[in-house]
Amino acid sequence: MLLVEGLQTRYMLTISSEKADSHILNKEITIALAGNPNAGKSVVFNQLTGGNQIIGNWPGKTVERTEGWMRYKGRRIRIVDLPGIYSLSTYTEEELIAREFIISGTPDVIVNVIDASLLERSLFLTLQLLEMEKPLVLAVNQLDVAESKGLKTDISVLSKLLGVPAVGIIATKGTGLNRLLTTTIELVDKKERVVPPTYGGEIEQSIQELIRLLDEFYSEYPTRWLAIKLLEKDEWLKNLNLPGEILSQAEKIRLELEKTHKEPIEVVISSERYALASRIARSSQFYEKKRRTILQNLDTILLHPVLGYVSMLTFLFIGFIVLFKVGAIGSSLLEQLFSNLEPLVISIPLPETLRHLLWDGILSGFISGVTIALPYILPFYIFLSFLENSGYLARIAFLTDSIMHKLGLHGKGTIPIIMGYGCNVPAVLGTRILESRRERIIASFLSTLIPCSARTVVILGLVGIFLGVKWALLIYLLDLVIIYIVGLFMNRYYPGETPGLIMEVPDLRIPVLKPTLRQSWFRIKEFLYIALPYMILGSVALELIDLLGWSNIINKILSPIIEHWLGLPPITGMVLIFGLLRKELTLILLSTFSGTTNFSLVLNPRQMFVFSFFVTLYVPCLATIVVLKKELGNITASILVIMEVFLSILLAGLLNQFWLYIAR
Amino acid sequence: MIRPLSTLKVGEKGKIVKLVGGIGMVKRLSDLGFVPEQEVEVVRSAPRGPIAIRVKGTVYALGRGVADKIYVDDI
Repeated sequence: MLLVEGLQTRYMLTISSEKADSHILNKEITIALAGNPNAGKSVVFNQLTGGNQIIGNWPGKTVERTEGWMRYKGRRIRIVDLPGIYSLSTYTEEELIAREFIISGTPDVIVNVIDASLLERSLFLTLQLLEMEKPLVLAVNQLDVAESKGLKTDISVLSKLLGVPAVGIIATKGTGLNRLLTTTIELVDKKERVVPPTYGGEIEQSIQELIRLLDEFYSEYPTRWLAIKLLEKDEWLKNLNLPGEILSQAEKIRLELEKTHKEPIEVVISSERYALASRIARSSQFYEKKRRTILQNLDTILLHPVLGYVSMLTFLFIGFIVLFKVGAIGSSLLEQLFSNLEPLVISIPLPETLRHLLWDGILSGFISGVTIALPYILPFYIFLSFLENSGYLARIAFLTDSIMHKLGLHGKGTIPIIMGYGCNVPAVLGTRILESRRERIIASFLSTLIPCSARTVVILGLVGIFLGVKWALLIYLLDLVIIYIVGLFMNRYYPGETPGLIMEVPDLRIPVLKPTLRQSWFRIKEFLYIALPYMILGSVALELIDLLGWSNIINKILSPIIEHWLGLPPITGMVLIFGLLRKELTLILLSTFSGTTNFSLVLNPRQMFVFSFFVTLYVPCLATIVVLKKELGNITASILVIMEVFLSILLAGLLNQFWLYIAR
Repeated sequence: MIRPLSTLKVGEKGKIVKLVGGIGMVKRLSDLGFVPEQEVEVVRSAPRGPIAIRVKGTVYALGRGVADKIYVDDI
């Protein structure tokens, strides 16, 4: 495919050489999508690129990078979806990435997606983008939402005041996207100079003074932009080796401004940008009427000091129950499907040992990965995307902020913890939304203590079936209590402070189905990519241990802990080692080793409860350990894993001793 | 009367006069529109928890510690 494209390009070049700009027409165009979080950037991106996307990370960063391709009138267009940001002041990693990408010169044009219902704040970023003097098209999104709030937007006035083309779009419906593309490509071909915004009063004077100072200094960056960065005392300027004289002059100008305004320079400049953004917004948008929508009324309940918590708990509880019911049905269907494969594999003429490795090792590793991922984790991701895109996740973060503060986290820390119920791997990845390393470590540790889908299978399959649902719920409850106490300890003894919550609470909206599903699909792909190899690897390793006959030795070594302290039968030693690699396997193995699926013959109620409790806490599975190492480094990850082993042995043992004492 | 934003009740409005605290936080808040002279409104308040503030049409959740550092005056 790629080869054919290349040939086509060369062919077109030779036959139409008299058309001077034909090679320009064939050049790949790179569009950078920039905008605030929740402005609808991702919807625009998905609508334009369809399935042609690559999701990865920015080099050396933990921020997700999404890139896609499309063809438009025969031209190949690369679209890079920059992280959602409010500003380019490089306060966050996302802002730094966005700015470096734009200033590096890679994008031919910026498409700035803005939320028409939040015009002023959106323009704050637009002004900063224009300061960088790159061609820019304004995509004025969510016109329908703005209208429902009584806001009428005059796009031509907006375009005139900013000096850039502007196109009204409703990304969720695909309205205006064609025109957006045409306008964008026309702008690239025109190669017009971009006029940066002019600010008022002393600020503009200071910028002009700095421009004069920079006159002698050559750099590849726009002079006016550098002048503003000088005024802001931007860290990034260190890369430029500016003469000391310019720096000291800039310092003087800056101090003068701070003196006049009695504010730090950051606030002075933000105020000035907002003043301009506000003027532009007021001239291009009119407020007509206001009526409360159903969603706004719903919001009053969802954030209510009492009803908010009641509805949150009810909603999450029902959500989880539905998810696990769906999961159980789905996985039993898949298991039936896969069990048809077994006779096929067994009929392959292979030596006994190899066949074991193939079926019990590689294939069963693959199968149990898929039977967890598709029926349990995929619906969970859809549920999560729904929570996220509807704006409810931000409300959960708001409601849980004060309790999370006790654990050294703020409200956003609840999000990875909820994700943990699906799978710990994305939960650990999800801690990236937190600001400090301290928070990420605490949140990672707490979310690995959450019983994921695989552990839920064990809890429900053992305690749920043989002791009753109430006992299974007790494990979940105990688990939450333990997480709370562990969090309290970590917050107390881990040095550092909890940063305060600053988070946008976006308007509630009904999520659009397609992007929600697509997002879930990409997440599940990422999960399979990370976790599946380790599940297969683990399963092969375990099969080897079994083939080599090491099971009894392992059981013997572990017996002081397993038999005496935890009060479990010796065979569970091997089972628990297996569980390190894949937790959902513990139940299957228990039946293999004991030769029955009626677990009440092997374990008494106390043992069932202790076993499930231990499986819930003891070590995150291999895939989670790998992700922990990747995110937090080897040392921190090892400490967390060791702590978890001790914690689980201690608590499960105490539970066992306590039960024995009561029963006496 | 100048007082911290955290002391305002639900539905009350104020005008920002000053942001105190670390420069990182001040910068971030000013990027979001919490700048002097700006009008703000308390939308929700969780007891001892965060408060939700409307600024320029957007609602932000601020931890109580953060809201303590934003000083507002009557309009």
